[in-house]
Amino acid sequence: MSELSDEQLMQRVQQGDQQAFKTLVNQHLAPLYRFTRRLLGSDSEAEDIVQDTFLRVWDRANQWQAGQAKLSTWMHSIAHNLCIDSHRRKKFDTVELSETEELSIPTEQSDLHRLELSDQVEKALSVLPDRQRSAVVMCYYQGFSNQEAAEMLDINVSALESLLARARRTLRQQLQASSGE
Amino acid sequence: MELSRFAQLLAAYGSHPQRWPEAERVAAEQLLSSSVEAQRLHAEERALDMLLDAAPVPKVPAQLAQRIVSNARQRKSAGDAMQWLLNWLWGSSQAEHWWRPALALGLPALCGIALGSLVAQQQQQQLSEQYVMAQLNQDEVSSLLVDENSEDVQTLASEWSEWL
Repeated sequence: MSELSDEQLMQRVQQGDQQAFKTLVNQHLAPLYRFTRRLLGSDSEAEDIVQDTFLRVWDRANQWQAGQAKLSTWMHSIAHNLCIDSHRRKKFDTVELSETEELSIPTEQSDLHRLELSDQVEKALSVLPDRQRSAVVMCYYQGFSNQEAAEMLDINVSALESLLARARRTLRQQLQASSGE
Repeated sequence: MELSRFAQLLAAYGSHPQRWPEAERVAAEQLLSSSVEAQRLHAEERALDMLLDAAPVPKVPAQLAQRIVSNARQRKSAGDAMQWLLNWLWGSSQAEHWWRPALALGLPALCGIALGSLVAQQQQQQLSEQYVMAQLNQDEVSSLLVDENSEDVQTLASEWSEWL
């Protein structure tokens, strides 16, 4: 079953094949969970969103058409929309940042330092406005192309580039601020 | 590729060539290898990317896949029961498409009428009993009231005559 393509799997899921659905979950769970976890910053919320995403895929399997979108793009779009709804209920505070000095990259990375660094990056990502964070997570961490990310965000590619550029500026400032503490 | 576009690419997608748009990647890489200014810009962005690469990779909870599959299975059972009911109500042949919905609508209506008439019958019987009881009670009460009323009327008449 695991050697089947996404299209073949979805055909079986559309017929109510539970084994095919299980294979689908095993194949797509990790990237979807990482995506929602990075967008929401919370384990329990990410779990809920991922569960809801897969249940929607199960319930609305017939809505997916092979020629229109890649399965992973379709599933990420569902998860992204659920994350937006969740965010609307619980708005993140944004932090005012100031222009500061050059970024310093540590040459020796002990485990403790690596943990601190990853914590700083997670915090920096969490203060980004929702759409900027979505763009960064899609393009940098989920490996989507600019076309796919723009489609999921329902914008054109130049608007996506603008979102990404603003996000990078904010991330740079945020990480400079936290490295200066 | 112009240096200004290269700078835009770096500002948006960062220093990793695999994140650059596929259509512009080769031209951007050529510029990077030939231009000192492009190399300087690239090095600046690389510092940020090294930090962003340090973002933690979230671990998937152990039982999550099992929970999702089991929830979908429960949902399927509920869906199957509903589907069975719909199939039964709608039938599978042309004739069944008529009589099954008619039966589905008519049966509760017949039950309602039968139940309604039964309740009405019982209520009628109760009302009759209450009426008989009330009649009996009224006879007793009115016989008692007659005496009291006659005394009251006499008192009232005497009071009026005095006043007048």
